[in-house]
Amino acid sequence: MFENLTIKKFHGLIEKKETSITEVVDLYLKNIKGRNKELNAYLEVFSASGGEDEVFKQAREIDKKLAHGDMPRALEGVAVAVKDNILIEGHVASAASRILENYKAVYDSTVISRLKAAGALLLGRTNMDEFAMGSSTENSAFGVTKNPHDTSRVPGGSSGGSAAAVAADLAFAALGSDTGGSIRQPAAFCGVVGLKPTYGAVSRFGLIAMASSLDQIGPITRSVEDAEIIFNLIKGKDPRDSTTIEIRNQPAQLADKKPASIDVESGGQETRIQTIGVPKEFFVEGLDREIKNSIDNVIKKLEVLGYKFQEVSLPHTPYALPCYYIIMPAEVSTNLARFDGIRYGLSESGKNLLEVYENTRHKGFGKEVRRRILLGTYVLSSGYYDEYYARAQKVRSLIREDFKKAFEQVDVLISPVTPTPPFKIGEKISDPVSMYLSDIFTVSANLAGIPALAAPAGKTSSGLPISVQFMAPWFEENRLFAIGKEVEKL
Amino acid sequence: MLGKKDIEHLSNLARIKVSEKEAKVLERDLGLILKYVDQLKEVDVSGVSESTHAVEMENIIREDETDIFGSKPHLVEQAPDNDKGFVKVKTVFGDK
Repeated sequence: MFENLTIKKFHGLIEKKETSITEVVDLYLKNIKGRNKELNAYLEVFSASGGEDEVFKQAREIDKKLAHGDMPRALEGVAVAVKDNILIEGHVASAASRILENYKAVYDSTVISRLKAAGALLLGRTNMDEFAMGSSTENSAFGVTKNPHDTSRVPGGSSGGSAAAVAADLAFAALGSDTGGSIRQPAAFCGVVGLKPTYGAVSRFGLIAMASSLDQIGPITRSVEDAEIIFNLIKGKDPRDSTTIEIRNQPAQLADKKPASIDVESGGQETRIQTIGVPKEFFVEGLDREIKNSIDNVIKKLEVLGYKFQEVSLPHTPYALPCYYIIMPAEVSTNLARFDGIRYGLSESGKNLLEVYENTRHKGFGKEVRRRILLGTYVLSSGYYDEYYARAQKVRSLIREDFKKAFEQVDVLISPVTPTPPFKIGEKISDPVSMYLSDIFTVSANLAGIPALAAPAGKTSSGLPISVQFMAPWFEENRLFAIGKEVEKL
Repeated sequence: MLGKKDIEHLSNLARIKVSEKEAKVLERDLGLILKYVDQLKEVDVSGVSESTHAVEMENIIREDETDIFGSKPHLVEQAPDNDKGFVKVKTVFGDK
């Protein structure tokens, strides 16, 4: 009954009284007790007063309300795991860093308020790379998370805990954040669905900022439909985040383009994908053979269903990763300046104010975080700003133009998510550039601001998950859900 | 590419203490990363404007109305050193 449980199936079972919220929540809590010690997906499962799991208490209350005939809300009783960089009032949010180890959030992020209003239950906070810096969750100050499919391997990062929790049935769904691939890459490594929304589609209020022009919060789920349901709930204009945009029928970017056959507001009912673009720069040397074969297989099967494929070119693709590794550290160096031992978090002693700052940040930040802050400081410093940061921002404009041109010819793009299947724990940790290359197919979408979806597409010969990525024009998440659902049925 | 003086300068700007041993590792690591991102010099960016925003937007404005945040005491209490509703810090203009 609980195999491949989706939100719709779950609510159907509740309605028919074949199960209860409490029963399903209990299942997840039992799974967590059974496997979390090994996997380290959760840093904390929220407990209520009296030692009981907080979520268990809430589940019982919801069952009582439903028994009285209350209508279930969109996410009623859906148990969600939340990445440790998303603020939940009254709970610790540490961004997997010692500098925030005991920091308790004083307010709910907007996405959390919306999940709560829809009846979702928050199970706990999940492990991540410290301050979202990493592609393996090995940079957490609180231990690595293991990939449920093979515990000698990484779950991906930085939302590794969230992806592992969903893959191992330790949660119904999870929230992650994606700055350069941090939802999609762990979703791919763990064989689950991950969505990075269009920049501005989901509020960042309450998300511990990493790179403000790249960050987005998104769902990690077992089905595309569940990702769609959660996305539609958390998206939308938020007066507390001035970069949020309401999704309209004519996205500003494509106002001069002939509209494709979609009605953005109708929840994807009329979304029709006709042509899928294959960006040749994403299918190069270094792409794992089994991943390439899986994607070719998906293409063949979609062709049989009538989808047309067309090769396109995104010529600035080779410059996306270097561009990202200038812009992102620059923004990081600014965003992490606030952690100084004064207003919250860890505070180390010093004989004067400067020493308090230097000692706190040295002790509180891990190696990768310090490295990226210093790199960002360099590329923004006097004498280097034009050469690095200003130049990268221009390359970013060119990357965006590449996508704009491609989307004039095709409705969505298909590509790999990762160049390799999940690698072994410890394999890439000593070579920074080698680790950074894990993001080679995901960063372009963040730089351009377009939405992208990672969906399972097969397995390697040794049983490791392989996923496929779809990218759509700004605010056309419905196209991703439409094609993602097709791939699920293949 | 980057030398000891550069690392010292950066660690000072970023307010992060760096030990001698760490400085050596950073020289190497940052050098490798900078070498990798140097590829951007190959791109012809003449006439291209910087994308300062992820998605092109107009000025986002709102009415200048105040909204009271109800949890001010909680915010101040989080400060490692606080007193009577104020955050305490070491002298800003003290001797080094």
